[in-house]
Amino acid sequence: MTDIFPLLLLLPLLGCLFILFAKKNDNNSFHVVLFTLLSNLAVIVRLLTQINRDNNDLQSFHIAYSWLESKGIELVMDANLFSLLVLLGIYVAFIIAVVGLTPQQRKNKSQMLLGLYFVWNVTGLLCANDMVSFYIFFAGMLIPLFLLIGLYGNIKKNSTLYLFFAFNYAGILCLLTAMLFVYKYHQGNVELQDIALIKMPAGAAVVVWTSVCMAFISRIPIWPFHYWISSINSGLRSSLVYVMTNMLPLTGLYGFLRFWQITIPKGILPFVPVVEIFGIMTMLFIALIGLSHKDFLQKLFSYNTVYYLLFLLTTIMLPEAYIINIAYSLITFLIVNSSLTVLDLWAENACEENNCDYRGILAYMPRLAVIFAFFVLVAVGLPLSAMFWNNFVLISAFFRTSFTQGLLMMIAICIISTALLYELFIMRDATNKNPVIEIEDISDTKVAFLMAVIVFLFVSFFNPLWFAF
Amino acid sequence: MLESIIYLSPLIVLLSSIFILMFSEHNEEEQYRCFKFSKIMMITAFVFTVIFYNKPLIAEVTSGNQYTLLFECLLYGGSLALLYLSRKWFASMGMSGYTFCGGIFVALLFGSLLIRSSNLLLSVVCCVFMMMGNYALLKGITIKKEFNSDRVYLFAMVFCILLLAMALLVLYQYTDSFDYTQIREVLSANTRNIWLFAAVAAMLTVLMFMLGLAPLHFWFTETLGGTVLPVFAYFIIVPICACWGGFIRFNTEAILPFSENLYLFYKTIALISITLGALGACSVQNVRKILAYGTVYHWGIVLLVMQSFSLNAVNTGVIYILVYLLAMYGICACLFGLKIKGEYLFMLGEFEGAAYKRPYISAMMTIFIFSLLGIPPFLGFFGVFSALSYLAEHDSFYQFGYIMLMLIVLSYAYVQIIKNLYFEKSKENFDRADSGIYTAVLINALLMIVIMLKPQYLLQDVYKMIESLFL
Repeated sequence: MTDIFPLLLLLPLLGCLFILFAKKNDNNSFHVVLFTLLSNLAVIVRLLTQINRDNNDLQSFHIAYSWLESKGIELVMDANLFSLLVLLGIYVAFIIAVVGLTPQQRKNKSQMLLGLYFVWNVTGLLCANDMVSFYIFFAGMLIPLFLLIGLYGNIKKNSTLYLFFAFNYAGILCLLTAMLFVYKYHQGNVELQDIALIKMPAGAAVVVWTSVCMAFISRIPIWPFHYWISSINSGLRSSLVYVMTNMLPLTGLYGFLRFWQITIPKGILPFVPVVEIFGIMTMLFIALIGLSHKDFLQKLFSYNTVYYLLFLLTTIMLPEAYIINIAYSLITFLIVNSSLTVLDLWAENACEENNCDYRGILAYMPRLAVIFAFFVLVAVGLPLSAMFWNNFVLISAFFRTSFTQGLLMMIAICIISTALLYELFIMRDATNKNPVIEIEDISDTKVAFLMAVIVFLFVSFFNPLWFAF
Repeated sequence: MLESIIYLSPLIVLLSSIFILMFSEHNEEEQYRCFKFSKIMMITAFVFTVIFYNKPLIAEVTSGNQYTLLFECLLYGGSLALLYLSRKWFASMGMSGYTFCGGIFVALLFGSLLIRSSNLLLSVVCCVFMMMGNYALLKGITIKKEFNSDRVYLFAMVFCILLLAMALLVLYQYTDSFDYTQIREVLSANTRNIWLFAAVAAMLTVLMFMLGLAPLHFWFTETLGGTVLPVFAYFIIVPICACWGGFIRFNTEAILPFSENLYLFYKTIALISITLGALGACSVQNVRKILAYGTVYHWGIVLLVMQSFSLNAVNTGVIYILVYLLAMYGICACLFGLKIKGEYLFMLGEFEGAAYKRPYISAMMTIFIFSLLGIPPFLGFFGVFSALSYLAEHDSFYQFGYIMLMLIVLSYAYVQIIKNLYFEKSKENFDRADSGIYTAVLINALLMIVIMLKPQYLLQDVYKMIESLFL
């Protein structure tokens, strides 16, 4: 059963090697990336089909590598239903982002190489089942992201870039602290689900869990750490880099999910209400900021933040049974997010090429308009995909737990949905007619590709795992 | 008799090389021959060193074991690599390489003696000659005269020689011998003697001066910031190996009874080094100075970890040194590959846009820099992991936290280098790099990959080698 599982980690690395020796300024690197992503997607689907759906335990594929015997460090990679579902969403999102690159961007070897290296790290992170390998992949993704943001982020201020690095680096060091403390008290590497069971002094437990929280919060734009991520997003004009940046909070969220699988550790229990309050306040705050922004990608960033916080609060506040709902929601969420990014960038490029106004652009691109509208409607939570059901389950559970909290979350989601719908209205508003008469719509190939994504999402409304079971 | 002479063969080879280089005609056209001769002699001496690693070079004042072999391998390996990298530099600058090769041979000769020394007098002599060799290199190979680094070094060297003389006199007064074992016995009987403490501190101060630890780092950072690239690489790689080898041996064999008295001394020096190294690196624009300050920071960590000089502490410290040396050697190789119109680069601004013109070298330099920051999956992570896990295991939580804090500060300086390499537009045309540079960088990278995949090679073998020091 585990025969093809190692391919998940090997293929991106092989792809990186191929790109390293590929020619400059041609599409070879692009083809390698696309091939690698599609191959790994096939591996994920194949693995999903091998999972027994009726079994309540999250069945898993398992490989181990004895890395440092003398120090008791064995790297354990383990993919279960949850991680495979999230990986599925990630890979489809990346494929959409790669397809959405402009012809010029596709020839950019460094972007392709760093993008694939990032994918390798994300894959490793989602498959890591022990503390050391989790740390290695968690920290490893900072390098490609930092380089890509520096190269393509159009960041004017030196301090913004450094702050991005420093925040993430501090987060990495926090996780290293937690890892070393766990290592000290366990005398060796430990599997993630066993961390909460390790006996350690109360003070050490506080250090470990505070460090873990700080490490993951450094990646989630929760107040007061929200600034760095929003500041680097503003100048991004590459769909791949934008999707990568928005994948960063996912790693923080996934960290919480893996470390708090069973119950919230005692060491951190008194701080949980604070995180809840900050989480909900940030949701409202970011949703309002999203409403006030004029750039669609900024609104999309706010939308992402609101939803990531919803998933984070689900992890903290709701029972373990709801975790699988997060996974189902995440698949659609990641795909929709990536698709909207690509579509908006295509629209912006059309505006730039034709020197026309962004307002009303969709009126001249009917095919893009239909697809764009579908994804916005899915994003705002209409019953068009599996996200509707799963968000419904999550939010109703919040209402049951605490009516006030549920209400505040619902308000935040409504505000950010309004922001997206208003942007759709702006883009379709043809009252201010552009001077140009004809703008080239998206190509047939792109339409076919996006229609396939739409069908995938729509069928998932009836059966979320129709492609596997 | 014949046996003793055979055991002396590494020293004879090195000494004869120095004399041949001194008295040969310093002709620019003979560059190639000079480097080829040095390489052959160095490899010969290295082979003899490895063969006779456990035989005494000079009976009763030296002794060899696996520990000395480890540091001698580092010393010779670093020197050979430096020779390989520097040959093209001297050719392109049209300068004579005789002084440089001679300097390396002096460092090798006295460095290997320092590592093997079990006698204080011999150690002091080695230190003095190594400092004189360093001075000769600083004085002999310069291009710009913006900073009187050689003069500063000369004054500091004279001061160090005075300290060494004082240490020798005081210790001899009490022990009637220069042998490490005798000194150890006397020290264990007089752990509260203030004069003995002063003498030991004086000896250690000189060794720490040679290592460039703060607050005696001024010569190290200033000299490295202003000197030519081969001399910079020499100071970063070659004498360091010998000094750490001698320093660890002196601490474990001669003054171990004093280790409790020296805790505070070492801790203070280490914390000052960490602070000044990290802050200093952020305050300068000269890339070589940044790397030099970074070195001060890293040596601070090594000293902090090794302060008890137990087997585990030394093992952790040595692993950190090895990891650092590999990364630093890679960075030096990259610096040799980056030049504009024949000029090698100093300032941050000169590195702008290098990634667009020399993508492979810039990428490797970035990897080595990230490695120094301890970010996985690069080898530097292993060094940071070893050092910090050692501190955590020994409940040194404040030191643990402080290292982390300063690492974030230091990251600013390293990120500046990467920023200039990648995120700035290229204004200049970078010269074509020699294929030898690519080979050196590639070998270094492969070595790092192998060790990262199978760290057992590094851990187990190094541990066994260090263990021989405690038997």
